[in-house]
Amino acid sequence: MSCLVLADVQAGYGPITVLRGLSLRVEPGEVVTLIGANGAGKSTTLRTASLLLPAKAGRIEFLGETITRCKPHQAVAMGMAHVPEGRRVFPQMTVAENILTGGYLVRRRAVLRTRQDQVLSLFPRLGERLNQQAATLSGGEQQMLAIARALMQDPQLILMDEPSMGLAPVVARQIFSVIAALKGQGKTILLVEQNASLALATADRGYVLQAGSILFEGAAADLAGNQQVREAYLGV
Amino acid sequence: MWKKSRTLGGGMIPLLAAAIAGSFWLLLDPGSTLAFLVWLAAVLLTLAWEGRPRLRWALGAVLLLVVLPMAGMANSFLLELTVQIGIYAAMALGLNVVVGLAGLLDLGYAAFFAVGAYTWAIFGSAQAAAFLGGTFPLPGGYFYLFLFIAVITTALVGVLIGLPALRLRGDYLAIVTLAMGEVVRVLANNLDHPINITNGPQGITPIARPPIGWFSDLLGSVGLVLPAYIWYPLFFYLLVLLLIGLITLVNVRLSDSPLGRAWVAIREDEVAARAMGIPLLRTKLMAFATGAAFSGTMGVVFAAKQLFVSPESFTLVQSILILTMVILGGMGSIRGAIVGAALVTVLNLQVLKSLSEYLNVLRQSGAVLDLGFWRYDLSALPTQLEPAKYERLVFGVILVAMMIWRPEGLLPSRRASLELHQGE
Repeated sequence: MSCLVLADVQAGYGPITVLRGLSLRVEPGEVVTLIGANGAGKSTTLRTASLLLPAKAGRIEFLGETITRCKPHQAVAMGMAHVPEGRRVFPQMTVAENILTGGYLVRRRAVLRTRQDQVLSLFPRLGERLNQQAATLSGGEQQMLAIARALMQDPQLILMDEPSMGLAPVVARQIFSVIAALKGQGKTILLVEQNASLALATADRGYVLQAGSILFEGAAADLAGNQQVREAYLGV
Repeated sequence: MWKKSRTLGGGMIPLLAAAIAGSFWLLLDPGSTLAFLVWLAAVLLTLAWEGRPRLRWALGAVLLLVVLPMAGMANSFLLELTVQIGIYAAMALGLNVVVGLAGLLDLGYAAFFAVGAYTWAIFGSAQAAAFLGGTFPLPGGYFYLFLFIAVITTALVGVLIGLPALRLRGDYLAIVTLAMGEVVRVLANNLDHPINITNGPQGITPIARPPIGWFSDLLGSVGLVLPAYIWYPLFFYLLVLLLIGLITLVNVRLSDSPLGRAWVAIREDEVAARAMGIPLLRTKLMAFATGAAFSGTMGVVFAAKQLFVSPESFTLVQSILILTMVILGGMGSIRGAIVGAALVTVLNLQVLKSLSEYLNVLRQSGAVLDLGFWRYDLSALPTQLEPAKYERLVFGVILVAMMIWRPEGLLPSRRASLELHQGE
């Protein structure tokens, strides 16, 4: 059973169609990356998969169940976490409150507490800033918080949208080392990333997206070696 | 990290001075507006003060449970005024959940107050007999039950209004709630035919008051023999204090609960909130229903206290007034909502009125201001100068000034004060 399947999905905003019959599949334990130019529909794919954006046509399957017509909170309850583009931490809340809000659907306090400890062991820097307001964190810390928040649900699948956006290269590498650590724990991740070389270095498999549909797919190593991909997205 | 200087971390001496001065002054001269203001300042300072919880509680208890009731014996208007403040404070606390925590701008909040008030007015008077038959009014004892029934009816109305309205956001939500608030008032105004439910613009009177034999017995049993005319004002005063205590407790518990955090999350970033698994409409409805329920309970108290309700009491101006209280006190701040309610109500009912009366006294004194080069006959003072006539201007100026110098409110919530003063 695949973790996530998008089958011939169409989606867009108002009259504008962004995804034109997109199909992809993420197997359990895999890190899959979507690369493509600006406006190719990478973020839209994630938003559609997490149901924040209702699909106009096609089918979305998560853990073997069709969820095309469900609400986002139902997908979250089933174990899908979305780290949105631009981090979007809750600026007026403290770090601790942000993390707790990530565990909104976890009702048992004891579970919340153990999860919080697990998450903080992954991001010790956040543990030092628990009572600090999220807006005062640096960009890298905010990205860590956004990931930490998503991990509170102990998700089956993490959708990550541009985790390196606007970060200094050193910080971006830190974030990717966390992603590698999550991969080491066996988490399934669907990763959208501008920085294709970083993404392909971390991922198992990749899809190249162009104008709302899949141009081609392959193992990350193959894509990194592919001449077309190198010219278009790796800037080599 | 917190800015202690912005709150009242020190300040024990001025607080005690205000408390002692206000208390003695008020007890010696219960009719003095100034004395009441000093007393009120002491109460509000006690609320705002951040040190020594035990001393704070003791001080608050003395000011509220000893000084004011004693002064109220001599001048029952004081009880009347504080009950009014209390009713508004409770509503400000309710609106604070909706606007302050969940960030849903509700301009029709007085509608829920109306629903609560009419719930008891209809069944606590002969009005219900007009469309249900049977024998009404219900005995006054039902008042206590209706405090809870109103919670349910107003929460339901909140959900009913919220279901369509909460699909909208920001300005659109504000406009629709404004309209819904007016719809409720217009319904109250016109539901006197074909079936007479609300008695239309004449309003409903007399409304049953709760029987308080037990209360005067209780007072007697602890050795307080009080004249009968003071029983009801004192009873409503204590009831409102109790309800505010309860509502505050619920507020505090909520704002630190998963639901409270979900409200703040929705206010801060709807998309991120949805990505966290927060069901948008349901959570917003909860905020609406909670705010409505607080307001509804106070509506029942209002109806019983006034003995009369009519659509006049639930206009748009009322909704704006309550919103002003929340903004003045600090959005999302529990103590702020209470302080805002106290200041706005006192300004409205007491200060502006007193100033107008003072102006009147000056006019009637017939005195002449003579500066040698310029004479002014005080009896020629135009009545247009009376501050009570431009109260909305006064509120407008206060709001503008607040937005410029202290946008987070007088007693900001921890979250807002951090956000707005990062640069300092």
